[in-house]
Amino acid sequence: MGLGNGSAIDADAITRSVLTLRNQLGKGVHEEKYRYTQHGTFGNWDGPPREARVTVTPGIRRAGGFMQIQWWENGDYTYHYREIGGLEFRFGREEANASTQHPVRHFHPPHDMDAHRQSCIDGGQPPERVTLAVIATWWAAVKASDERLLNAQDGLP
Amino acid sequence: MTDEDSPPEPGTGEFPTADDLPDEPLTADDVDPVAVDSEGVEDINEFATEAWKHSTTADERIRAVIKRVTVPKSATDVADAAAVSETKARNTLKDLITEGIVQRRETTARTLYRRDPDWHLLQQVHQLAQSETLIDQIQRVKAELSTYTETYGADSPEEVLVSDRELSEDEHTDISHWRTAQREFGYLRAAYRLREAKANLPGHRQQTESTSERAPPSEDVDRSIIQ
Repeated sequence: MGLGNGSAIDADAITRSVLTLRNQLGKGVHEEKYRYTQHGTFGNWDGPPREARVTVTPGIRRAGGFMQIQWWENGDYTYHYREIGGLEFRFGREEANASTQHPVRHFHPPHDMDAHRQSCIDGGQPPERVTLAVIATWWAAVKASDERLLNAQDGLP
Repeated sequence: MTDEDSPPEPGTGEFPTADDLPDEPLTADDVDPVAVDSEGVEDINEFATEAWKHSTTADERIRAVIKRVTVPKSATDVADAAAVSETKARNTLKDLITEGIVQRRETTARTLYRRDPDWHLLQQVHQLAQSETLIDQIQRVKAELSTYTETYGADSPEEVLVSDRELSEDEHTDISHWRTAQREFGYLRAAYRLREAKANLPGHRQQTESTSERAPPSEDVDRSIIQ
């Protein structure tokens, strides 16, 4: 079925997530760009966004990366991090996974993006809290320059 | 203004390059995104809740939670999600009902709360009506809608969903965006009408002249665009 399970995109939740990143990271947020249609180019125009791409710095192994964020009205979300040099990971919630072997709240780890591990981030709404959890686990990895700390319950910053 | 509909730029959806980052990237010492004492905190979720409490008031958290509640919830559930006491949740929800932001539903067993759908809709329409690029946005969403109707040979995403065809994951993504675009189009049309109505209010002319803002009826556009 896919992310969102066919429900509409939640533009306000995307906006709240970016605001949370900006508030927490300050100058660590280098740039914010948005897509306004499904296949649109990332940029800064008027209107409700379908997807956000936030350039954050520093990074885990290199200088920084893109954090791409989407939310759907059924509560599904995806936080996809891609760093210079090819390191990537993704946290997601996908309701439709309930009828599969994959966990609803899952983590695609670096070096094995097809794997669906149980996510360390529990609960769902609101986007502010989920974003703070993503920041916390990413920051633990950034501080230690070690992506193995991602999605680790005991890898506190 | 609407060139985001052109083919994706190289690198879109890809990894960043050095050009995407500042000339002098920050180090972990330059940023402190988690200014909360993590001592005694057991896991990342508890930590996130503490960080959220640190950066917001109880009222802000209750508003953030109830804003996303479309299926009615109890005050206990709202309190849990907002990391506040149940008494605090009840009191703030009561205030939000008075403000027209929240609706209360009494059942025989308990009281349930959700965001007021009309308030939520009007908020979005009001926000769009402030935009100076309303016409550009309407054109953008109309173009997107026509790609879906042409691709699927159907007038609505529901028509595709009830058909016999088995939808792929990509097609479900199309359905999500199609629904979103339909809703955006409805909001944008309402925003356009709201501006029209405002332009006819007494005193509006003087106000717009003084701020040199153009009122929508004088906008040089083909009005069929909002049909």
